[in-house]
Amino acid sequence: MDKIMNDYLEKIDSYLRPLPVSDRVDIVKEIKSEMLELEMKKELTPEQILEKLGSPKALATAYLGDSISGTKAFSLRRFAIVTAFYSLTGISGMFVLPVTTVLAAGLTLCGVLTPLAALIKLAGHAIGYDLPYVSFQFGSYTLNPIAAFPVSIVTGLLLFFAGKGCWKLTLKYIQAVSAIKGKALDKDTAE
Amino acid sequence: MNIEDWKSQIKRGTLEFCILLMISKRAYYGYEIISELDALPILSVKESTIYPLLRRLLKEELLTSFWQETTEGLPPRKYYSITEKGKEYLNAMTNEWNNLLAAISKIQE
Repeated sequence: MDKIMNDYLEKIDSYLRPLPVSDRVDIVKEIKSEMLELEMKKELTPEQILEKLGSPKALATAYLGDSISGTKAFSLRRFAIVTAFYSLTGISGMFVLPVTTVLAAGLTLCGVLTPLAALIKLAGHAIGYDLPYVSFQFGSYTLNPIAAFPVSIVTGLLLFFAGKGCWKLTLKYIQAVSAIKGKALDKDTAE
Repeated sequence: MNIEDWKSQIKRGTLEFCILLMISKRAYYGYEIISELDALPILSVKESTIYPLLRRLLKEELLTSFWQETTEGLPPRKYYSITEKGKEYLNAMTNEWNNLLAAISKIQE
C-alpha cells in the first residue's frame, strides 16, 4: 500500500481517538478495504483515491458528528468526542462549544455539590459543630443550616437542569453544524 | 431559489430509505452501495455521508455487519445485512413513502 494512503489512514485513526478502539479499528479497516479495491479493481492512482475520499479531517468529522448526535446521554466519552469534534470544526465552534460544554459540566457538577455541601453542614450542625466557609447566604442574610438543606436541594436541581440544558444546546449546535457541513459536501458532489 | 439545495435536501431525507431498500434485497458492502448510487446521479453520495450513516444504522440495530474474505485477492469487505427490526422500519417507511407519493399526485391533479 502506498505511503500517502497509509498516512491518510493514520490521520483518520488519530482524529477518531475519542471513539472506542474496536470502532476505530473497524472504521479504518473499512476505509482501507475501499482504498485497495479502488486501487486494484478501478486502477485509480493513490492521488485519485484520496481525492475521492475527501480530506481525512472531513471524513473523521463526519464520523464524530454522527456519533455525537446518535444518543442523548452524557458520558465522559461523549464529552471527549464533543471536544475532538469542536477542535475539527473551526471558528464558530471555537466560541460556542467551549462555553456550552464547560457550562454543562460546571453547572451539573454544582447541582450535585450544592446539596452535598448543605448535607455536610447539616450533619455538622446536628453534632454541634459549625462548619466554616460553608453557608447559604442571600446578600447579608444567612440561612440557618436546617432551612438551608431543603433550599439547597431546590438550588441543586435548578443548577443540574441548567447544566442539562446547556448539554442539549451543545448537541443541537453540533447537529446544526454537521448539517451545514454535510450540505456543503453534497454541493461539492453536485458540481 | 436554488434547485441544487432542494435536491440535496431530498437526498438527505431519503438516503436512509434507499440504503435500507438496497440492503433488504441482499447484503452489500460500503463501496458497492456508493458505486451503485453513483449510477443514479440524484442519489450520488460521498464516503463521508455513507459510512457514518451505515454506522448509525448498525448502532440502531436496523443493520448487522460481517467481514468477508474475497476470492479475487482483494482485502476483506465489510458487508451489511438487514435485521428484523430493520425490516419493520423499512415497511413503515415504505408505507409513508407511498402516502407521500399519493398525496403529491393528488395535489398535482
